Amino acid sequence: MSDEKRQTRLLPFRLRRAARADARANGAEDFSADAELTTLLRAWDAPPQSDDARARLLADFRASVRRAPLWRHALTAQVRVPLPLAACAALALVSTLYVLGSRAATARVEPSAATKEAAVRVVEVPVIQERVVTHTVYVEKKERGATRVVSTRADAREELARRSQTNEAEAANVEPSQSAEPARKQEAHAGYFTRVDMNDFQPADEMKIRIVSRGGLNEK
Amino acid sequence: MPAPRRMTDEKLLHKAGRGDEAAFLLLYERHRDTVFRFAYRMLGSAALAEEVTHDCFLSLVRRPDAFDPARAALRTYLYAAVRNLSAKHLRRHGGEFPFEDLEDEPEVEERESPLGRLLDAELSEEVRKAVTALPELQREVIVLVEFEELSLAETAAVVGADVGTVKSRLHRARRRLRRALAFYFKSHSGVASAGKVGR
Repeated sequence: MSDEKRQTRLLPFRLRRAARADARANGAEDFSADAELTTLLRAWDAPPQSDDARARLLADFRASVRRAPLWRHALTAQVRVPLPLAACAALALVSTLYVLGSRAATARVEPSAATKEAAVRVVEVPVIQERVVTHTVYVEKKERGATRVVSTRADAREELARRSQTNEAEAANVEPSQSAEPARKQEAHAGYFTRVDMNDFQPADEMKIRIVSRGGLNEK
Repeated sequence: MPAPRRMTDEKLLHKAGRGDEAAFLLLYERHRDTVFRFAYRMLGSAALAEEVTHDCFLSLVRRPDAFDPARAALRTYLYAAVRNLSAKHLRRHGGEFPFEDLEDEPEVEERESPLGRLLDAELSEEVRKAVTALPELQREVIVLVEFEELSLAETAAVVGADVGTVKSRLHRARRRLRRALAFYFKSHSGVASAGKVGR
């Protein structure tokens, strides 16, 4: 640090020390007591106020009071409320608002529940489903002199019929004697036989669904 | 309810703010001399001091909320208000006083001899000149401490500075005054005996 900078930095301290020494030399170290000067200064008295100062001030005060209208007083009025009382009042206000708010929310929910109930109501519409089942029937002509073959085939037919009877009984829980009987009769009557197994069964390509409204008049 | 004379300044001010004339007058009577004296010594003019006193009390009742009793006493607040108003006047008039104000100088007490009256008047005038010649910051401190007898802490509260600053200003003001009134210090005993200075 250069000497010049050092001197600059020390200057405030030196000035303060010099001021203190000066004060000590003048005997003014005690700030509360300078009796000689105080005595001398008291020679300067303040004059009394003029008589009309009070009247003038009072007039201005009345004018300022009168100028303020009642509504302004009402708007700027202040009420001093003790803190506990104010806290209780604030708490009561908040709880009241909360209760009112929750009630309003409940009232708002109620109609929506009613509409929801109405919307969920189930209306049954009669639906008629029509299935087209294609049953393929293979017919073979009886050949002469083919007794053996027929008999062989008759055995096979019997076997197949028995199997189908078993399947149908299982599926539809129907007595096998009732369904097997007409098939035999049909065979015996026409001289043809019908394969009733479902091996070559193919599902229908087309299904028609008819929806009939209640009453049946608008049937389509 | 306490009698109006026993009411605190805060209550009186509250009532006065609501338009209670009696409360306002009571407040005025309590503090008018203090306010006027300080204004007079700051401005050196009785007319200006009256104006400042008038404005000070009116602003007090127009804005009673500006006074916070938790921060300071009403007297301290009034001193600070007078200080601000005086500074405004001084700025407006550039620190110069109307010449005719010299006629408003205080009437000195009746003395036994014409010489005594003359000396008192002369001394009073010299002190007035010396005090009003001080810089504003030093003047307010010397007036508050020497004339109004406020403590250093109270003075610091009024002028809005710390006690150290007040001490420093006071010291400088006293030194200036001693220099300005040096003649009276040297011959103070003679002056006092003639005019009974320092009652």
